[in-house]
Amino acid sequence: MKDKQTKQNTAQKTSELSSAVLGRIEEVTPDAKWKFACANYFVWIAWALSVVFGAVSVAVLIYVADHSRFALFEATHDTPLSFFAEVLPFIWIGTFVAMGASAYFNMQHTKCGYRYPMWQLLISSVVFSVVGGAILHIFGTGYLIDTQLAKRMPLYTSLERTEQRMWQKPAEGRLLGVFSAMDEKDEMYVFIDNNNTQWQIQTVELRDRDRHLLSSGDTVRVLGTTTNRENNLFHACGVFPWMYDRGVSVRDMKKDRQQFVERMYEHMEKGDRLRNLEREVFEKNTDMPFADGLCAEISVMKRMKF
Amino acid sequence: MQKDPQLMSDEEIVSMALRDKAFFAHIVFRYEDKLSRYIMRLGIRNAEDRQDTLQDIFIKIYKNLNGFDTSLSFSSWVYRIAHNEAISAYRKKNVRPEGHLIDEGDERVAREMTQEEGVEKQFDEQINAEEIANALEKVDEKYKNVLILRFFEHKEYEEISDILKIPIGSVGTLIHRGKKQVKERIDTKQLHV
Repeated sequence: MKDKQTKQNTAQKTSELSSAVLGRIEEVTPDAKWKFACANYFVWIAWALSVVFGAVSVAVLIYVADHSRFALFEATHDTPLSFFAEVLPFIWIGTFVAMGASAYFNMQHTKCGYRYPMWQLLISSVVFSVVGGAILHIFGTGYLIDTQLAKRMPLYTSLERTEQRMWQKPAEGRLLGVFSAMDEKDEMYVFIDNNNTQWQIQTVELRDRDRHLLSSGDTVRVLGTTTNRENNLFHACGVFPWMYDRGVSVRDMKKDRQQFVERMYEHMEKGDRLRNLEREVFEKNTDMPFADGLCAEISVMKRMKF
Repeated sequence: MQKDPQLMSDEEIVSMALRDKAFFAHIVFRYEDKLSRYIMRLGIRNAEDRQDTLQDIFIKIYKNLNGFDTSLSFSSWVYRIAHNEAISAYRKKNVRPEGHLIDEGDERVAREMTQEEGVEKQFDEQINAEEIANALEKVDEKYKNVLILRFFEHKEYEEISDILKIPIGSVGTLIHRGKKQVKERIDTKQLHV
């Protein structure tokens, strides 16, 4: 009896609900298929854009890693860490992370995205960005974006600007610029730096190869020390090509480093020899180093700790 | 000759309902009781509120019929909508729901919940559905949702994954942790006694 009553109530309720629902859907039309399709495409497009921007940031990161002059880091920084802290494009690292998160978020909101664990979604998006970034880098996109952004946005610091800023520091013994003329009278090289300042470069401690490179007319980096700030006199200890627009292979890096270390080592040995000679001749130490041994005193020598 | 709607699959009724609204009544008949029980377990205990929520659920199902993802079972899709609507309904009221998890005759649920991974050893025959229900009220929401679907709605892992939109692997993990938490709650209760 009780069961029968319950069933009747249920049937009544069921018909009430279906009547109410049917009554309400009289005024309702199902949303069109295209709306759902658009929502789905939107998520995929947002995912694709995140991957593309991620790839662009990877391309710039590869370009920066490829073009950073790590081989000479002691010339500009105390430690490799401080070198990378200055060179690393944090804005692109941030972009890459943000795009990775965005790609994950969008992928998760695709129809079946929720079925996969977070790490799978993240890795798949990141792999697309990294592969895409590597391909873009092959076509020079990283270089193009970095240089074009620097041209159009004054606040953007490109790798070129970073490197220029690092090497255009006369007070710290670094100059970036081009050879202008020979000062025959004083046997000095006239040099115009990146700020259009004219310098007279003393080359007594340079190898022939360095002198040749300096006078080639190409943009070069000169490592040394400023001997007279008022007359813009600079004592050169090494000359290195400015290869900013060229990628560096591991072999190039090794070669760069080898030459840099060899040169610094020569200066150090020469400095020791001169100091010994000084002791033998004068039987005491003098504060004034020989002009010919200035390179043994530059800060790079202390950093390299031979 | 038209097939008897009672013999039709959900998907067939959906395509018919898109042409003729009256067919939607069959969807309502099929799911009304199941969804009513489900949303009650989720926390909508008041009969009137439940009826209102059910209406909203079915209207939403109808409105979104064209968006039904055929890679899912229709049932999972319906439960997903019901779940979301129920949560919205009790969020609107701004109170944490207290679900009424156990129906009469649901004692077997208690046994099902305790029949995995040695947990059953912790329980004896005195454990009843009411105790499990009380403990379930105290477990975290994320565990409660999967436990309800698994042990009260008897859904498979894949279905739970589709309803709650979480990875299948996470379903297993949540069930495992949820059961542990239920056990802890029961143990604590017994200690207090």
